[in-house]
Amino acid sequence: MTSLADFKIGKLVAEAPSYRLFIAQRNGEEQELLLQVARELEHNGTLDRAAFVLRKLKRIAGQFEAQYAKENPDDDRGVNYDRLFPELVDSFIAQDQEGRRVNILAFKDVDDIASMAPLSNLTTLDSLRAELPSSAWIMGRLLKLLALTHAAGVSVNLLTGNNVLIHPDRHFVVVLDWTAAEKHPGGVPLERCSEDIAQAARAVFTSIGGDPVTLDYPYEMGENGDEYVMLLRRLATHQEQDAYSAHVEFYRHVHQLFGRKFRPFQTLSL
Amino acid sequence: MGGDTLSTPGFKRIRDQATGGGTTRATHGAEQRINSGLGLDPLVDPKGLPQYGPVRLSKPRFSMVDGVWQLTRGLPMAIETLLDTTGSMGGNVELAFNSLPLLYAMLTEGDNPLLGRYDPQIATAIFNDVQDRNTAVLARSQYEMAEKIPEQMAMLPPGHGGGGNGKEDPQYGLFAAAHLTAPTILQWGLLPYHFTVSDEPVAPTIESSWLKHLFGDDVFDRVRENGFDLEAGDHQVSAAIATLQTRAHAFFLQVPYGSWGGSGETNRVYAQWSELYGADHVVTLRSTEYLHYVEAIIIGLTEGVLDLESAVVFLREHGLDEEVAFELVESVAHIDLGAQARRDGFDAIPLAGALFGEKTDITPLTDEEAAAAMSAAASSGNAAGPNWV
Repeated sequence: MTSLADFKIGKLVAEAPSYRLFIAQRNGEEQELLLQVARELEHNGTLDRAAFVLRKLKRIAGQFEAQYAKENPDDDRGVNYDRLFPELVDSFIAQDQEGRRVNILAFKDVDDIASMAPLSNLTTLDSLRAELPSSAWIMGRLLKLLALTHAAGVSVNLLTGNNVLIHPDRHFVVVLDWTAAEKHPGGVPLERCSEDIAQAARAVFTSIGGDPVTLDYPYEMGENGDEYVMLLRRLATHQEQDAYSAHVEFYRHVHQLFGRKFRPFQTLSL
Repeated sequence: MGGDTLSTPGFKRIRDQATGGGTTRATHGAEQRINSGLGLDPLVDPKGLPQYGPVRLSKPRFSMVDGVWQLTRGLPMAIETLLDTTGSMGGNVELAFNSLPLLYAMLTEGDNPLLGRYDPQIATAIFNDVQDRNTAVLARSQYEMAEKIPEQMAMLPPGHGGGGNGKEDPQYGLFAAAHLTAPTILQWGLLPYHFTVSDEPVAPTIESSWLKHLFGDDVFDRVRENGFDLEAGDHQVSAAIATLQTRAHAFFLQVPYGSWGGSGETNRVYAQWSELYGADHVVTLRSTEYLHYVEAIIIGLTEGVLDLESAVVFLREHGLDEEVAFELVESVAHIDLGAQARRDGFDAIPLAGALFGEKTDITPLTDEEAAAAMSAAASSGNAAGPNWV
């Protein structure tokens, strides 16, 4: 049975109302993990539910991966939905922590946790903003994730900049905290779908230096930038309720506006 | 009261008796009784037996051991299911009856019995529509522990009616659960379990005339004796449910509408019940076929005996395939996990074998007190014999 003694626990990296987050490594292993510990016993259920959602998403992502591989036997890239949310390595009750629940999280294909940083750090800590085309892959990944979660009947409800982690060089996006996620028995209601989409778009709008409340963008927009900003505004104002079609349409527009070539992540000063 | 529990041979005996050796429904006798104008068996009549009245009791069971009272099976954990038996719901008692052995096993047996610390005491109730003719608006068994559980289940006559009026009348069963139930587990700070199963909305008003008709003219006196300061008159079902939720982990288990009615009707029903219970106490059932599994994992998750991962494993160990097990756990993942386990006193309840001075005591005797009590009993027992010099 897993216990905290199986891990070397490092520094505290984040705190939330229901948990604390530490860097950790399983004894004898190099890969860095995140150790999410319930703050109080009453938060055990919250972490249990988050773990359940992550397991469900992993299952569904695996099904999509298998289907893609079957339909595209010569394409070894895969769809990689499981890069968009943490991998639940383990979830257990820590008897030596007064019976609080612990979730062990990892990021697929990322061994160095510090290489992932919250999107909000860009503007709040680094005083930078993402160049418009560079923000497009972040928005695209978030729409891809929402297409998956909404199809699974799950609304995320926490798509703020501090909960969206990015690896700028590899264009990875991970939504870290799933404690606010909800499973909807009859499918995610349309207003929740559009709220998730809007929240994600506002996080991206903030990262480009815009105002997430007024949706003002005070900078020079550059070639096709005004159309892209309009696209983000549309997503941010609840005009889209279907993440899958929003995802398809978003990429269609972005490829027309900025091309399909991989662009290194670029930032500008605020 | 002893320590009998429900055994497989015991259940089979009751089943053979009730079904005429498998030739008819378990509730056939109860239905015939109602159809021939004899009414309900007194054991399931909401009015109750003359010596007990309408309040259903769930009490600890003791054996006298050397002058002290020994708790035979753990504290009594009352579990009541209030079943809609109108229309398409008419088969619910039969389903509950046939799945009782598995439910009981999940609660009491195996490596991880969900209520292993307790003495599960099970009651079943049914409701119909007040407009139905020749049916029981409400029938309610006693809290029982062994073969009397299925015996009294078989006394509940399903209605199969429903009035076609867009609602049913479980409110009288809910009133009884809230105000005419005395589960002693409350004295130890824990809550029993209550499940209402239906596919329809509930009428909003609990009519005083029906309360008197179902429970007796003195129903409000009985309610007051049971500790409630409730005015005689009509009441709102919302108030009864609010009271019930202070005295039980109470859930509404919604059966979605079938091929007619469609999702709009299902949503209307869900909207009303989630307004009354709170969304975290409303669960959508895949099918009533899985009712006993859903009740079991709700109990396990609320007690903290299961978490969402082990609940899937638990269901698979009890016969479900992985996909169904996962779906059932998903359907309850939003409830307040560990709600019972967080209650004060959860870790300190007396267990089977605990010794008490009186049956009404809350705190068990310490080892010293028990030794002294047993010694005193032994001494007084010798008073009748010769005093040797």
